[in-house]
Amino acid sequence: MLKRKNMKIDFRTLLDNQLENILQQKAKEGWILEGIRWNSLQFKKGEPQDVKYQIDYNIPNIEYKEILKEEGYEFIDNFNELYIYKNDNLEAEDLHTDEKTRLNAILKVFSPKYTKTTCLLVFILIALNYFWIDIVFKHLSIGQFFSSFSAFLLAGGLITVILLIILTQVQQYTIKYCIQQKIDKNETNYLPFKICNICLIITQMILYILAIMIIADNLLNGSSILQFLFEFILFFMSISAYQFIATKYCYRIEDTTKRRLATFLVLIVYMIVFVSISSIEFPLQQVNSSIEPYQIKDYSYNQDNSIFVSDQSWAKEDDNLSTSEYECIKTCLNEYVAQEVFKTELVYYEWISRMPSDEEIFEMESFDSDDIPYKSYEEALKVMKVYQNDLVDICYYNDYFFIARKNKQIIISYMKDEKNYIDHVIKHYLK
Amino acid sequence: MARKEFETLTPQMYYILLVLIKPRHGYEIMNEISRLTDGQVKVGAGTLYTLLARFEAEGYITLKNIIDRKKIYKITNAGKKKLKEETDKLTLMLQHYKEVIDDEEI
Repeated sequence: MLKRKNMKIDFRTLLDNQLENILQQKAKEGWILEGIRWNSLQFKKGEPQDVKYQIDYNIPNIEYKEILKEEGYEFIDNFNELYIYKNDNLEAEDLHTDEKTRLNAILKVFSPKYTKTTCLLVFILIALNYFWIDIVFKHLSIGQFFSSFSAFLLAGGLITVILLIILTQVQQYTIKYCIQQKIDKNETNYLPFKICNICLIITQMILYILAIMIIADNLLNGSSILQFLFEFILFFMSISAYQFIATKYCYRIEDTTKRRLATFLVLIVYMIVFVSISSIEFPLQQVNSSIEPYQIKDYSYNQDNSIFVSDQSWAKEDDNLSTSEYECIKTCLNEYVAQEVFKTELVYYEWISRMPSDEEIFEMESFDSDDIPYKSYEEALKVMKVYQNDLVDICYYNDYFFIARKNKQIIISYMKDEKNYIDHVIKHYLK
Repeated sequence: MARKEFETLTPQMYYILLVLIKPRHGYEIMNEISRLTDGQVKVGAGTLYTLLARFEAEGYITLKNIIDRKKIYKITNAGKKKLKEETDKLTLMLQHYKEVIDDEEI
């Protein structure tokens, strides 16, 4: 037998002044309102009660609390500026006796908060940039996008999240429209809200499906299951904690300035935690210890090691072919650093592979390789070829070198003619 | 939005402004309105505190003092002007009513 059940708060029941009656009826059936979790009312099965419920939209100060106490009202819980009170005295005076004022109070509570929306959008875009945007919009071509199932899922997830945010905001405006209609004409048309709500439910379902597929993909991929699960749990916990504090406790602070400051601080802390999650490296993977040098020979290749966890390079001279075989694997602190290092390396290897054109030689007073200018990352990308590959996140090559990145690892190798050479090297290092 | 909200005052809005001719705190306002209207106009605590915040933001009332954690409000000149406008409107309506309907008809 069910002991607890939830009911989502529907603003239409508030607008039509029905929520109090619904709560009272549920209490009569033995479902006692326990509190609000996220935006759902939580009921607990108990003894049937005949009590009066009232919804309020005022942030309670000491004086207000005293009046409510004197009238027999007991605070149950709140969600943002929506407060629920209970009174054992059914004859007690209603908290709202003026419909126009009540509707205007609802309008204020449900109106879109522009500052919050902007902060949320900016934050999400920044946060997503750390994870996906670089992969989706900067590095992968359309061909690559569809060639990799993981990339497709992540891109789909990103687009769905953005769509969800946009729809949530649109829904806020439809709610505002409905309340405004109710105030002006004493009747309202819920159609825009209903359409928006259906779109939102469909988008949420798509997101759930994609989330399951992403989890499954990561589990099957097998490279970083625990890392992924830890990140997922931390993400979920942090967003729950943020919701809990920002939507509940911040709205119990009666001083407006202090309340705004607290909300802002909670948002900042949440942003730091969220972004930090992507940088936390759990000691769960054995990356370097599993890598055996492909061709062992020290090679005098020096880099600034400050940003690398490890930087291993090997090369051997082949006298018969008068060329050298060079391989290098760099393990960076995190994916963000790896992305930046990848850009630098790509520009560098494009530069050392390039012979200056006749015009460039003519312009140079003396031929010195140091005088050859570096291309920008975007220019370098144009002359490098993309190698579509499921093994790595991104891979580019030219006639001399290939450079690939997988998570926080970068693999650079001298390019042989064989087409499957890149796969061979990558597989060897990534195992 | 607030201008439109107070375009026409509801009885609760009108009486709150009216009783604040004399400085009063929340509970006093509720009691005074109840006494004045003989319980005909009821102002719930939620309505009162919503309106006090809105009136203060609109400049119709001002916080005069805080005594024993109770906020004492008083009507401003803008509030008095609004109250007079509303009273004039009601008086005019009453005149029109009297012009159209004889006492005997009632």
